[in-house]
Amino acid sequence: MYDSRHFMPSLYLVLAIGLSGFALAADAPGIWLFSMIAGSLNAWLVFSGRFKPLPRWLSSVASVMSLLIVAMLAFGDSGQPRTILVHIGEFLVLIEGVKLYEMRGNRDYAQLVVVSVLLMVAASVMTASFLFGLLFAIYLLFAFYCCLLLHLKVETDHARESFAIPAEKLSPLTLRQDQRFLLRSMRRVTALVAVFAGVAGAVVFVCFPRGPGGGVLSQLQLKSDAAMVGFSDKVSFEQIRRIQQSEGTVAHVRVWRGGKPVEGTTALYFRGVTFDIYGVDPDRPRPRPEWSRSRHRDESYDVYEGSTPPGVLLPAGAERWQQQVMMEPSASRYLFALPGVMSYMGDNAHVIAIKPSRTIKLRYQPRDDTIQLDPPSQLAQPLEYDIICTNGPQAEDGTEKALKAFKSTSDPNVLEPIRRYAVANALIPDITAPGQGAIPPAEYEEIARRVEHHLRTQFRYTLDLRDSRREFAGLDPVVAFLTRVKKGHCEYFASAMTLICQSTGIPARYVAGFRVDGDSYNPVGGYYLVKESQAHAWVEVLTPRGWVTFDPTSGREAVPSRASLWQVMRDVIDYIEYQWAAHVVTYDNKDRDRIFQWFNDVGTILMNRFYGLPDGVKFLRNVRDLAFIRNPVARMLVFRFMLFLTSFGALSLFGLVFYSIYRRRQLRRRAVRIGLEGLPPGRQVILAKELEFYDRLVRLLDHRGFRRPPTLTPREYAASLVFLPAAAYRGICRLTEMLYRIRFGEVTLSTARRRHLLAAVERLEEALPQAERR
Amino acid sequence: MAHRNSNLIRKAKPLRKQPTDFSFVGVVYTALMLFMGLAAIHSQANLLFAVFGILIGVLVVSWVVSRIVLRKLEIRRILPETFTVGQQSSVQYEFENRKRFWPSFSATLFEITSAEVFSRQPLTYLLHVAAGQRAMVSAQVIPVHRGLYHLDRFQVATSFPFGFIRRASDRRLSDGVLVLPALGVVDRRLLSMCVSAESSGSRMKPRRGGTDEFYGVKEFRRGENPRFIYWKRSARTGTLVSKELTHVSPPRLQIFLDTCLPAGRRTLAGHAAVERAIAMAASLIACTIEEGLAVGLHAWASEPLTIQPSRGKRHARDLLAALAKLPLNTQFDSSRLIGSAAHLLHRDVTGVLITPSSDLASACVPSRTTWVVIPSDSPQGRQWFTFGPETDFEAAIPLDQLTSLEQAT
Repeated sequence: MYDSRHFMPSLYLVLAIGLSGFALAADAPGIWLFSMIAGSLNAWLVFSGRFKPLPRWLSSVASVMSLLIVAMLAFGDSGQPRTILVHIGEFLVLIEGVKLYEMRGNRDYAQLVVVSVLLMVAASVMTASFLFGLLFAIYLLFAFYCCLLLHLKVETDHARESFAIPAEKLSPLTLRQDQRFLLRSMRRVTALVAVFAGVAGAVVFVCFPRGPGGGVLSQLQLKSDAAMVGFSDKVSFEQIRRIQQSEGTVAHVRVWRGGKPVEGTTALYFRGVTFDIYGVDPDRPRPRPEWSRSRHRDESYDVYEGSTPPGVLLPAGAERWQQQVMMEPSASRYLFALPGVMSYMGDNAHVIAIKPSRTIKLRYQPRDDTIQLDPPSQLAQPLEYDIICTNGPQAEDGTEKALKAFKSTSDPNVLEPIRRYAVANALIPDITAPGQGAIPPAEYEEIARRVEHHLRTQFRYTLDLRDSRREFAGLDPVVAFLTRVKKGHCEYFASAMTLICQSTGIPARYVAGFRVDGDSYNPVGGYYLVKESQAHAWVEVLTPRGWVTFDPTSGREAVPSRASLWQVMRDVIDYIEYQWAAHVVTYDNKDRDRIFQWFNDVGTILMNRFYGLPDGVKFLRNVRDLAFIRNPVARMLVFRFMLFLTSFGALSLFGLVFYSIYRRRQLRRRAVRIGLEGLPPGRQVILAKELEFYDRLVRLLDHRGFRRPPTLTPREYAASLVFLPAAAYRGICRLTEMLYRIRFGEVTLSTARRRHLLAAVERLEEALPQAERR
Repeated sequence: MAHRNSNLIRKAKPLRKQPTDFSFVGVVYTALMLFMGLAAIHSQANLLFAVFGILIGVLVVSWVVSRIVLRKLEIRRILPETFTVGQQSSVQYEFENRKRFWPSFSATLFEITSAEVFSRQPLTYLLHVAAGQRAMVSAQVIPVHRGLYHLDRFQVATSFPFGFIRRASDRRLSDGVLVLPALGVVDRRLLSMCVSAESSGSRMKPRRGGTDEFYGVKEFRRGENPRFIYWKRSARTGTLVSKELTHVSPPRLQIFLDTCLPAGRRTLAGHAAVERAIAMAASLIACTIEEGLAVGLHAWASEPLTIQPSRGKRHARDLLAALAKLPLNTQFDSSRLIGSAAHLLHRDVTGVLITPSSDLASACVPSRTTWVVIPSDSPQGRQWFTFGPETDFEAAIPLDQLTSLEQAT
């Protein structure tokens, strides 16, 4: 017979891979370490024979505790933004740990495998990493292997119980065969299962129509409260610095300048969001100075796939910068791009092409040249989009008017000391001096260059400001930066320049985004890799030629890195990640149609070659007709029908499952009443079905006051009722004998016979005397 | 339980699975799979679509693998020569996997035809047989009905690889099963009555090969016990010679088995009494032949059946097989039985009459020989033969007789 010596190692391996996959997806090394230590300890206990399972009650308490801990983490303010899936995954990890120390038999093993699979499924939603995809494939292989071994173990145990197989008189050859060929055979079957499952997965992945149905369960879903990385409508100091300290990938960006790819020759400023108001928000629990945005609701445009923001024209002579951005999931509601988003070329080209083309709706604000998701929500799935820009000063309608009408809304208590500082350092003219009027717009750019130069040369770049806390105390951070500290990171530099400009009436805004240098260019894939550590802040100043970019931060120039083997390896790995994200994670209907079209073309070529058909004859007349119905109404109808069928099927199946569980529970209770609890559960259920008549008889007698003492066997109990009327007594004896024949004589009853016996019990009801409790 | 309802005697119908069946686990799995599909549609996460496809693939591959498992799986049944009522025996099944590449796993075999002969439907479980290999597994069975039966149809079922789908295939393989009557322990006092000194002494006939009296000498052959070397003679002749001793000729028993059950007395209890008589005869035959006696049998098997007394295991098997196959006898009563066998009764033969009816004891007239009469239902008979507690003579009735009894009642 089969023993579990092959099964347990495979189970531990599957659990370890599952936990690693989740830790990778959730970026939680602590969970990985904790679970690995717990799992290793458990494995050591099991294999050394020291393992004793936890009592059921204790494991139930531990499960409830796990739920409470995760609930506290989810609803408490841990300071770390996380998605609901991470919390679910954490709960599953804890449950897995509890089950590991509770496992007694096959049911526990099966539960462990199921929890592990759920963990991997949750992880697969959370991440778009290629490494995870690879891990998932390996996991599936081992999970199939483990499930096959588990099934063998379950079946063998079941056979051992049911058939009472004795020690078999097997020949040595047979014994050797079990030990020598079992694993080889199992590997073959595993390979078959994996190939089948893989092919089916690929077919569904390629052919299943995307788009309709997205968010179908939104009403049932818990709202996500998390943000992983990105910019919001307000930014306070240290926020960008925190982002900079992470090495996570934000996006892969391909850039073309005038149709030619840009290959890392220049630093690029990808704008995310702009801020133009600096001050303290008194509504916040802990008021502190921060940047916020002016509202421009009336000037935003909805951007769909294929739509164009009205009124945006490529200026004459401007260069055409095209970007193809593959953005990783982030909590940012803003998409980033080079400045000057515009590409209305007059040839119906799309300004923004969104991929996957599902239900994403964007909003473009020409006032500050930003694009954001509408409604504001985090980007849970990778997003690929194309944008065409000028990467130059962005002309705005009514620039002159804006120049004249500008009046800073930042905190005047901050602007005044900053203005005094700037005047004292001859950065700006003192507009409050007698005889000094407003600065003409033509000088804005020159003044801005002066300020930029001053900050770059007189201030030092650092991320560590711990030794300057005393100097910051009691002062606005920007004022303190300018007057006392003289060092800081990009937020201070950008804020200082923006406020210096605003203090003297020059329109300026603070921009948060990513600055990408040439060393981020991946020559293998031909794209820029944008990382969180490249988060940056800079300044845009409105001049007569538009909004001009200034970067006052000193000491952040890229140091050219020397090409090394590690660098090449890193580029190759990153390229694979990019390809995975571009072709698998963001796969959509267009890709699907492309694949079908490719098959159509190949089929056409083959048909023409082998059957000599003319070139005009297509293998399929229109492959999209086959792929899915083109008419949107029909597509929606088909989709709704499919959704109805799927939901109905799922609900029916679940109803069936719940009914079966309920029925089984009823039968188990009946078995206990009859006294069959010593039998295996399956046998109990079978006998309880057959012995419904006896259960009714006992309950009837109980109701009439003749309770069966637990010490009496059914036969003794029947014999003890000799005082009853003869007809009733004989009936009870006959029914009791029937019980024995069914219970011990392997007799089964037909449905008609069962009904007959139930009718006999009903007849007994009349023959029995009325309740006279003894 | 003389008034037992005949419907209740019917055994459970042999378990037989449908060719393809969706298990409860399969239903749960399908429900989860559909929910996974809904989750994929909702989230539009491409990896979830892939997972959904993998789940579909697993379901499909379950159907395929279960088919592969049962394909080209040859099964041979290896039966013992005989079974005995109430005694556990082992039926061996040899599974030969004739596939070139794919193994077979986790198959359960159920006997369908004549399964009711046994207390439980014969079942066995095959864990694994590799491609091109053979594996032997056994099923433990306890026969309950005496007679000759044929095992023919059986079913092989599997739920491999994941238990979602159960697949079964019906096969045919005809084999005869001879179920001997139940064998009990015979009281030594009965044996001593059958082999009493006064009757057996006169029948002693010297025969070489025993260990009793001196019979003669012969040339010593290698391998013989050196204790039998006749040293004096060897010294005189110069070659090794050994002594041969006599063997006492055994007593001869002729068992007369009365199985008559007149049509008017055909009840379950009557049949059970006949079965007890047959089991007593079988027990006596087995016991006395083991003791070295020569035993013969005279009974009615559609016609008078006579087997001359003889010894040896083969003879015992013949006698027991004849007993196993005895049909229903409604006419040939004990007086006709004895009358038809007068020629068998010699002076050196002890006649043993085993009869289910107690009132026929006086009808047996000893003539020139010693008679032992054993009424099967008498207290004396029950004292002489002890059967195991699990031996149920009502259940041991051959199936054809049971069917005819049900029809008659």
